[in-house]
Amino acid sequence: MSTAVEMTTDTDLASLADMVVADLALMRRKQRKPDHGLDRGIELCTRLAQPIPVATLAASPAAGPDASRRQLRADADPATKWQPPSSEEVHRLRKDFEDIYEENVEIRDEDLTRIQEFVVRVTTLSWQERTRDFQQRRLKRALKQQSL
Amino acid sequence: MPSNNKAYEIADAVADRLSFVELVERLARLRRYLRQEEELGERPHRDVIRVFLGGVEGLLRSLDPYADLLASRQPLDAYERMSFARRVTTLFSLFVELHAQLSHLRGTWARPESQLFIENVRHLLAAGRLPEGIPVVLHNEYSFEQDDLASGLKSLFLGNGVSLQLPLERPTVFLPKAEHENPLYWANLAHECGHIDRTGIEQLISDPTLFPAQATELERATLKRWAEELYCDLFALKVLGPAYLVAFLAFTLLESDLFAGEYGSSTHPPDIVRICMMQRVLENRGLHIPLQGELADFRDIARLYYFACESRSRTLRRQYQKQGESGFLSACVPPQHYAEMSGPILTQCVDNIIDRIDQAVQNEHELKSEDFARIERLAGRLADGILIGSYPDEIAVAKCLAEIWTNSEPPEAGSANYQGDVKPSKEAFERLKGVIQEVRTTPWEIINAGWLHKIQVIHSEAFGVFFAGDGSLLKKIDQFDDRLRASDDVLLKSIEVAQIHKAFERRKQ
Repeated sequence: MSTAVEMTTDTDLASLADMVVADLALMRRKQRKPDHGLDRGIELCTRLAQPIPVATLAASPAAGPDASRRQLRADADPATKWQPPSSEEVHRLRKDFEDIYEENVEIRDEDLTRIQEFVVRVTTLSWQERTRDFQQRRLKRALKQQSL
Repeated sequence: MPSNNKAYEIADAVADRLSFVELVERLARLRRYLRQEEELGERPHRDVIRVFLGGVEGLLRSLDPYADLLASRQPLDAYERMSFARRVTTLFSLFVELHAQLSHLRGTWARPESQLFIENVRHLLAAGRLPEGIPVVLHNEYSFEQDDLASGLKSLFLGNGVSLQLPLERPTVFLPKAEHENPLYWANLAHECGHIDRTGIEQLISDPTLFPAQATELERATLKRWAEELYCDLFALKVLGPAYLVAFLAFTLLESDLFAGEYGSSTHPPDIVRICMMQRVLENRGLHIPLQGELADFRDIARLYYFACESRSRTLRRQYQKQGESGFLSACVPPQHYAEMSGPILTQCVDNIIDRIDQAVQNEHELKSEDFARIERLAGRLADGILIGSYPDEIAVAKCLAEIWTNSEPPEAGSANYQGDVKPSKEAFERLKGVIQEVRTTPWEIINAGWLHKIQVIHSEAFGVFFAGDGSLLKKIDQFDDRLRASDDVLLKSIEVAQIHKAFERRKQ
C-alpha cells in the first residue's frame, strides 16, 4: 500500500484517476485482488475535495483566496459545462471504494462501471488543463529553439 | 477482399496494443541511448545518467497495469479505453519532457548512416535540388526539424553589430537523440529535407491558382504556410513511398493529445488533413505494402496505423460535450475544427497541391507499384537476419540456368573437362556471372522492408510477449529491445552495404 501512495504523491488528478480506472478494470477481470489500489482510490477522493494550490489561484485574480479548487476549475472554462463533484458525491465515492475493498463484499460489474464513469468524467477538465500545459511548454521550447 | 468493417471491428484492440508497443519502444530507445552514454562517460557523468535511467524506468514501470489489462480477453470498455488513451498521452508527454533534459549530458554525434540516408534522399531527386552534405544533428527536443544554422546565426549576430564570415547557407536537419539509430523513423527527416528544397516550394506557392479565389486574406496567408508543409509531406512520400506515411502516423499515434490531431496551428495543417492527402496519393498511384495473416484486414502497413490513429482520436474526442447535451462520452467533433479555415477551401487547395506536385518535386525515378514487388521478400530476409543492402535476382538466375540447360551440349562423361551436367558456352557463362551478382537495393526499399518486418514480425512477437503470460514487464521490455536492436543493426548495415555497392558501381562506370 505504501507503494501506491508514493506513486501518487506527485501525480495530478487526472493521472491519478486514470490509474484508479485501471485498478478497477483489473479487479473486474479478476487479475488483481480487491485490496490493490485502495490507497489510490482514497487518495483520489481526498484530492477531489482539496483546496486549490495558491500558485494556481494567483493566475486568476477573479478568484478569491478562499475559492475552492473545484469552483475555480468550473469558472476557468464555462463552455465545457463541467460540473465539479459535490461533497456528497465525493463522500459517496469514498464509500464506494471502502465497500469494494471490504472483504466478502460482492463487486458487481455495474458498480465498477458507474465508479469508472464518474472518475473519468470528473477529472476530464483536469486532464485537458494538463494537456494544454504540456503543449504550451512544448511550444515555448520550440520558439526558444527557433530564436537560436 | 478484406472489408473496412472487419478492420473497424478489430481496430480498437489493435490500436491500444499498438500505442502501448510504440510508447514502450520510445522509452526503450531512450534507455538504450542513455546506456550507451553511460559506457562512454566518467563516473560523475555516469551518476547523472543514472538519474535519467531512473526516470525512464519509472515511466516504463507505470505501464505495468495497462500491460495486464491489455492482456485480458475481455475488451476494454469506453471508460477504460479513455483512461488508457489519456495515460499514453501523459506518459508520452513526460517522455518528451525527459528527452528535452538530455542537454545536461555530454551527447554523442549522429551515426554516419543517418548522413548516408540523407545523401541518398538527395540522390533520388533531380540534380541540384538539394545541396550536398546536409548535416544531421542530434537534438534534445523530441521533434524532427530543419533549420539554416548559418543564416540563423548571422541574423542573430548582425542584430548586435557582429558580422560573421560564414557560408551563405548551412541547412541542417535535426534528429531526436532517442531515434539516433532507428532508420525507420529517419523517414521523417525526408520531410525536413523538403523544407530545404526552396525551388520546389517557391514554384508551388507562387502559383496564384493554387489558392481558391474565395479564400479570405487570412485564409490565404494560412494556406500559404500550410502549403509548404503539405509540399514537404508529398516530397517525402515521393522519395520514400508508404514508409514516410507510416513513420508520420507512428509519431502522430503517440503525439495526438487533447486535440487528437484534428486542429491546425498557424504553421501546420491538422494531422488528419496531411494523412488523408498522403493516403489518397498512395492509393492513386497504387503504392502499397500489403499485410498478411491476422493484420490482413487492414490491407497495408499505412492503413493499419491510420486505423489505430483514428481509433485513438475517436476515444479522445469523446471528452468533448456536444452543445446542449450533458451526456459524457458522446463522440463529437471539437469546435473550431480546422482553426479559422473553411473546409471546402482547404479541400480545394489540397486538390490543387496534389495536381501540381509532380511538376514541383522532380524525382530521378518516380516510384511505381511494380517497384514494390520485392519489398515482401526483402522483409523475409530481414526476418532471417540477412542484410538487404543487395538482393539476388532469383528469377533472372533461374532463367539463365534454364537457358544454359536447354542450349548446352552435355559433355562426354569421363573427359578431362567434365565439371557438371552441362557445359555452357562462354557467352552463357558470362551471362550467368552477371546475373548472380546481387543487385543493389535503394534506401527507400530498405526502409519500406524494415517497416513491413517491424509490423509483421517484431510487433507480432511483442504482442505475444507483452500481452500473454506472466513475468516482469521490465524483463519483457529488455527482450523487446534486444529484438529492436538486432533489427536496427541489420538495417543500418544494409544502408552501409548498399552504399558500398553504389561506390563500386560508380567505379565501374
